[in-house]
Amino acid sequence: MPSAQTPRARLADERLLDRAFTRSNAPRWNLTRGSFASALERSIASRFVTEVKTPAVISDYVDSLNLEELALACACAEGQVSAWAYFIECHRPGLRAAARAIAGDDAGADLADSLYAELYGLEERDGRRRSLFDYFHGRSRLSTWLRSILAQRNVDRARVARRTRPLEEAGENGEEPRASSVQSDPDRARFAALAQAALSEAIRRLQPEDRLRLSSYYLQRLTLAQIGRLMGEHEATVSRKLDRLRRELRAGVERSLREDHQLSDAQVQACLDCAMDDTGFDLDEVLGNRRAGAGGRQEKAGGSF
Amino acid sequence: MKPIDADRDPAFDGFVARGLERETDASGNACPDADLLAAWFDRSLSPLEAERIEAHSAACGSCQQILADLARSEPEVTRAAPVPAPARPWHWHWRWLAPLATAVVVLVVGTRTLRAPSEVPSDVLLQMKSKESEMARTMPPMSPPVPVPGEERPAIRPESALESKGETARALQKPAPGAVQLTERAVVQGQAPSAAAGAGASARPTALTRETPEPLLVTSAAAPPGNGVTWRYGQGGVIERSTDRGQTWERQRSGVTAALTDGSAPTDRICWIVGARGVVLRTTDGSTWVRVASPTMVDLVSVHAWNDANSTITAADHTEYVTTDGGASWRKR
Repeated sequence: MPSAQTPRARLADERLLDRAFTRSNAPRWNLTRGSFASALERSIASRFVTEVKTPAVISDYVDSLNLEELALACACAEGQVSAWAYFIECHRPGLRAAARAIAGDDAGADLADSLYAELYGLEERDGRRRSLFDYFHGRSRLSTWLRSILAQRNVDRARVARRTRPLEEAGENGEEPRASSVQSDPDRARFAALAQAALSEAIRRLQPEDRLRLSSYYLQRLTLAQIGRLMGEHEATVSRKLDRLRRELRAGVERSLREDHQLSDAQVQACLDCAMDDTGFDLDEVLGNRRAGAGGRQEKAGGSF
Repeated sequence: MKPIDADRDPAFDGFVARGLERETDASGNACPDADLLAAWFDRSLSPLEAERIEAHSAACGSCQQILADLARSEPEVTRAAPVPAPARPWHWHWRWLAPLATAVVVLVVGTRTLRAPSEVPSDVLLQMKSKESEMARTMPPMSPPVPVPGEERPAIRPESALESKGETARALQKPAPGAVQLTERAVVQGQAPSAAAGAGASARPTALTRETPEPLLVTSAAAPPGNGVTWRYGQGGVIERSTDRGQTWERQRSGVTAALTDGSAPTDRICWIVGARGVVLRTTDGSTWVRVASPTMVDLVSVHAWNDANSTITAADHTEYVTTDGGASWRKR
């Protein structure tokens, strides 16, 4: 996360500031023009770290921001009571619901509560209270940003939990190398390795958005509707694309084995059989226990889409 | 949803999942902050920024999980039940009349032709067709079908959509030399009362869906004959105007980067365009776009304007807002 104290881009265009200030409805929260200008300058500095910024580009950028929510966040960071009352009223239910969806019922409440302390800013630096709101730059909806922060905190917590988990517990959860049938059969091991290498190469060749789509389904276990929301597509489109990707991956693996390794059709099939046997036939087993607390995909167990 | 490929080998799923797992967490770059991931989710990044986020997240397990959690905690997703059609303002109902009248005329003509072809002289048929065309010209376009979750939106062939607009549409198909090319995969839009009535109705973008908005066209049919003023708009806040029936296009400054989803042009100088995250834009001189204060942050999927002051916008959550003062204030319908 970039520092909230990123050197500020001077907002020299007074007319632009006037326009943004009017649109932001900042006086509603007793927010001064100077405070709002500072928030705007932080946002500009965060967006144009390396890029050249012309007045026209800055103007377009400022016009694209959620200025009202930027003003609200700025007022909350300053501790304006009316702004906090509005924030609590409008965002608290959504925040708690999101935390439950992300971390599960038990951990969710704790996750949401811990965020309030950060949003208010209990720590002081250079004589000023540092609020998490200082990092909201108005580029997204405030509610999306809050959920993104919650998700980030949840990932951090899971990482810490993994780091501090006793070794024997980790072993119980299957993180030790699995003994499989391939270890006792050199040919099977070679075939499985060839198929896995071909699959890895095929995955690396995918377009980022296709790979993200696949990972959302296979690793994150999102439903088709959720993937649709993520990718901006209808769930039927997601389903169709996932099906196409799966076919392309299989075709890519088979082609690689056939052409790069000069394997016969029977050998290609043997490679796939070995690789699939090595990974296990149960998708739940392969992906099991990846998420603690939060509900994974519930629409089916077989992994079809 | 019924699996598309129900008979496939589930073992291959496990193989793919494990391969993805091996290839994840290999992005090698610092993770984008929560602000950027949230903006990516809200589709408010520039195309270049969005590409960077996708390239990183495709191989980063942590970012994948954050994005997945965003999707998982999105309120809209949690209520994925079929949504009933919202109550439409009067102009939506009127829009059905053109295709309905067309269907009735076609049915009558077809029936009479089948029963006694010789009884229907060709001049009568011509008159009927003329009336049909007249109705189509005078009626606003039809309301879009309300999508049923799980149902595929039928692909819209640009050729057929554009053909329906006649000469203007054909001109739009030709790439103008030096003009910025938008991916015109969607429709000719006829939001103005007399624009593309009936004929372009089936090509109207399906409202109330969350599909990625594609670049669209909005035509100001209220422009004087021969004037040919047309706007087109799409991803990244792009707006372009043509004053020569699509021969050449001039990029206009929209001041936003959000995806623009619908437009309505009652005259050749007045046009309203709406987009993601409650973006409402309006021009009253045909060239300068002003962002109008929006009553909502929800994605907007439809706009219908009568003039520079009166307009109705529809959000993805089916809420409709009406303004009678050019967007200074909005009333929930």
